[in-house]
Amino acid sequence: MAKAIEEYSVQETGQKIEQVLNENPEPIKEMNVIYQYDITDEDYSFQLHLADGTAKVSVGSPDKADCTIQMSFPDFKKMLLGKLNGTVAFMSGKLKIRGDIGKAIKIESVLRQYNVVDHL
Amino acid sequence: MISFKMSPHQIQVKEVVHWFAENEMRPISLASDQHKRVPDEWLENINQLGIQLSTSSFGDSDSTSEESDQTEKRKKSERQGNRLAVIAAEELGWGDPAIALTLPGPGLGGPPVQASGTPEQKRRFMSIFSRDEPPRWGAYALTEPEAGSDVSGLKTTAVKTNGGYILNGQKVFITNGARASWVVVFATVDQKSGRAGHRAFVVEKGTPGFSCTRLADKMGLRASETAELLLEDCFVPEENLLGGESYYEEKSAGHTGFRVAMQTFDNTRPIIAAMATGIARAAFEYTLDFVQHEYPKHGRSFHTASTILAKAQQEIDASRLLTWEAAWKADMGKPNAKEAAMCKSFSGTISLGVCSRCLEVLGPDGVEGHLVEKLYRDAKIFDIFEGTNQIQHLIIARHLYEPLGVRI
Amino acid sequence: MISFQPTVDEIAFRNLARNFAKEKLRPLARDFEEKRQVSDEISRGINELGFSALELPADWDGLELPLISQVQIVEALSAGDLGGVQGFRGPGEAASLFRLVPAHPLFNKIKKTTREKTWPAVAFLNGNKPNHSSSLRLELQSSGGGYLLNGTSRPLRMAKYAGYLLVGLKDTTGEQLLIWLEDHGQWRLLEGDYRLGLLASGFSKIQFHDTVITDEQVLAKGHEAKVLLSQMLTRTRVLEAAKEVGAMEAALDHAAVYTAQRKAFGQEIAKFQGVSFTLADMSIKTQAARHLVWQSALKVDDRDPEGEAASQSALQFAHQSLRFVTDCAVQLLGGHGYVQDFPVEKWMRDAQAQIIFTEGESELLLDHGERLIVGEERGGLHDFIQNVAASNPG
Repeated sequence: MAKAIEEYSVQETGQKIEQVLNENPEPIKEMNVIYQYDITDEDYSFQLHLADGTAKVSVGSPDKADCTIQMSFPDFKKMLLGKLNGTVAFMSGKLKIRGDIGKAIKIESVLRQYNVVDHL
Repeated sequence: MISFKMSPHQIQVKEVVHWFAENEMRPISLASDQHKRVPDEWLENINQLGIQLSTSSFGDSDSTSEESDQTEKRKKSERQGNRLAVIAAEELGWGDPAIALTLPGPGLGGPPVQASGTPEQKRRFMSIFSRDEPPRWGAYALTEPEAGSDVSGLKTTAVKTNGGYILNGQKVFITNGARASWVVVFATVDQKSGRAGHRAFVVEKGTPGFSCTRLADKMGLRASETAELLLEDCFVPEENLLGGESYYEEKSAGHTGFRVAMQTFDNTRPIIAAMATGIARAAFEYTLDFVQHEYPKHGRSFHTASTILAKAQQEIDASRLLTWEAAWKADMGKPNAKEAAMCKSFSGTISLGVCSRCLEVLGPDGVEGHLVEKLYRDAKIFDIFEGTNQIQHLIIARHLYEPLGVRI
Repeated sequence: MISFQPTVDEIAFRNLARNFAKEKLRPLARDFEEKRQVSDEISRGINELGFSALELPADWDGLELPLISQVQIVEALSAGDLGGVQGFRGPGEAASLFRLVPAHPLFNKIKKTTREKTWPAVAFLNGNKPNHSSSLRLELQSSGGGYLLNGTSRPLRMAKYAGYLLVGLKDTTGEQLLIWLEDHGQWRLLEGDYRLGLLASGFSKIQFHDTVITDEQVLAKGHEAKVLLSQMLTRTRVLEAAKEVGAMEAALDHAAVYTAQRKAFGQEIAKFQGVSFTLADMSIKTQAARHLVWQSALKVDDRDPEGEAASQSALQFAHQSLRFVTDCAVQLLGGHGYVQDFPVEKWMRDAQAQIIFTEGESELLLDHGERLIVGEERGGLHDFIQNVAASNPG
């Protein structure tokens, strides 16, 4: 029986993102980036490697990320569900960016193209 | 304690908006000035990224009503929306002021809706700006051919009728007036009663009797749409009177359309001043770089350039600090009308002077299809709109004389 | 986080200064000018309230306050009367040097006096600006060590009453020196005919005739002297600019009160826009000058490498604004502005004298500008080298 996203753990959310992106790699086709997500309130990081039209999620920070995004888990989930606008999150301090700003903006709009709600 | 250091969040906002200004705005800047238009696909792209021109973007009043209740309770010392807004506005001005004013969003129409709209109106008018839909704009229409600085001379009339009002009149110099989905239009229900008769209406695009007669060609800010609007027996329903009848009936609260118009200036003037500071800084940085690479490092021209650049930086610093003071006061909930007028006046004056002197340093080469000559043309309006420099002086003087018992 | 909120302590000290300025200093300003001296009573009052100790290091029993606090206090004092403040007996600019090298053995004697709360005056001779000391000559002695100093300085503040002299000068080989003189006998005063302003500030030229400077009297040499001098000047610029903001505030205030009650053509002249707009301009410039002073104070307190440039910028803007504001104040008072029954004409004269004795506006801009372009101050020397090189290609 499928869990609602509200009940997903951080690890499960990361895995779900990898699955969803690989099922439809069109938006990530041209991208060659390593993103790191620091989920601040869970003290948990994961990296999202995008290359050759595939997505791979790895726990922790094994590689040097092009861009690091820091958010709390509740805000992260809200953003994935489209309930929190990335720009608004940034401006209000809920989302912090380190590294390549252009890539941070790109991934936010890419992820929005996957209606995560549909997949859950 | 006094501090002019930005917090990490403030620095981050500056960096990200600067990135946007440098990488997204600057590449289309000169072309947009030439074609007097910001490309539609660019606007669609930006809209999808969720980037909007909204004075409420900075965490103090989010668009969801539950969150805005929470922010009301936030301690005064934590509020920094105005400071963040001026920091972001400076980078947008640095990028391109005309494109900045064309960013999708409620624009200058936002503050009156937020400040005096009913909850239903706020929801209805502010919810149309979505990144999942095409870009949309709001606008603010106060100025008329015969009434600019003298707002009490408003001639657009609003006559009460069944279910609403009939509006007749003309508005000029309205930013995004033609493309806006709705425009906050100021009209008078009783010309004889002066300011007490002013009302703010939200007139929606496509309303019969509401049209854009022309777009003005300008000295600068050419990529920004400056519209003339005509209201001919235009019916506006009751539910589009901002705040509803009851808002204006509370005479004791002193609610008038005039107040609605004026109050927003204390928040928007620092933002405009910040944009002017950004314009000056853009000219200065370009010219400094030019001098570092192209000028001899000795002799008369070096000394002249040194003097000009030092003066420019000094004026930019002072302009920024006056603007920060006005924004800080607004964040602290302190009255800031005098400071808002000071920063607007100073920045408008110096941004033109800095651009002019930078052009002197750049020489005739600087005049040809060039960033700094465009900035000079863009800068001039900052002395004029959002209250002319003369009006700013009047406001400052009023505040100086009020404690001495003289009303001017 | 950006904030313009002074601390509770700063506000308290400012109010103390403001009251002293208004009640004690302002009423006696004309008297001091006439007598060419600030009274002992006022000097003592200043010292008792702690105003002389603001910049001094803690182990000199000083308050060692950060510049951001000092500029607020100094501004409030100067709003009483700039000419009076510049005539206070005390360490003057040298206080900043004491702050930088508090443990230097040469300062033992003066340190003792500040601890005993007697405040001898110190005058500062900055010989580094070409038009300020063309006749001074510091010659390195090849035999027996030391130097020989000859020549006449430009008029120096508090020289008339100085018990100590701090000299910053290059010797004939071009090496920068900082010299500390404690013996009156080593210099002569050349009194002058001063009429412009800051008349209570003890201006006088100082003359040296074969004055022997021993190596022991040299506080610092070469690079060390350059660095100390530049750090000291950075601090004094900030404090001078703060005094100028105080003078502006006084003129602004006075002009506002006068124009609010003076009637002409049937109404208070404040109601004429020529008058009210001028007042608005005066207040904008004063406020902007204040912010630039605060910015430079904060940077210096923070040891920001941009502190020196910021101090030059703040002082230049203060000079320019001070001229404008004091001139406008006289203008707004009309005929009353020109006669000595009202304070504004004195403030305008004091302002111009102030600007002359500190660094000039054009040179401040030039120095700051050179720093912006090439990252350091070059001065005219570089032009000389370029010109010589150009004419001697071989």
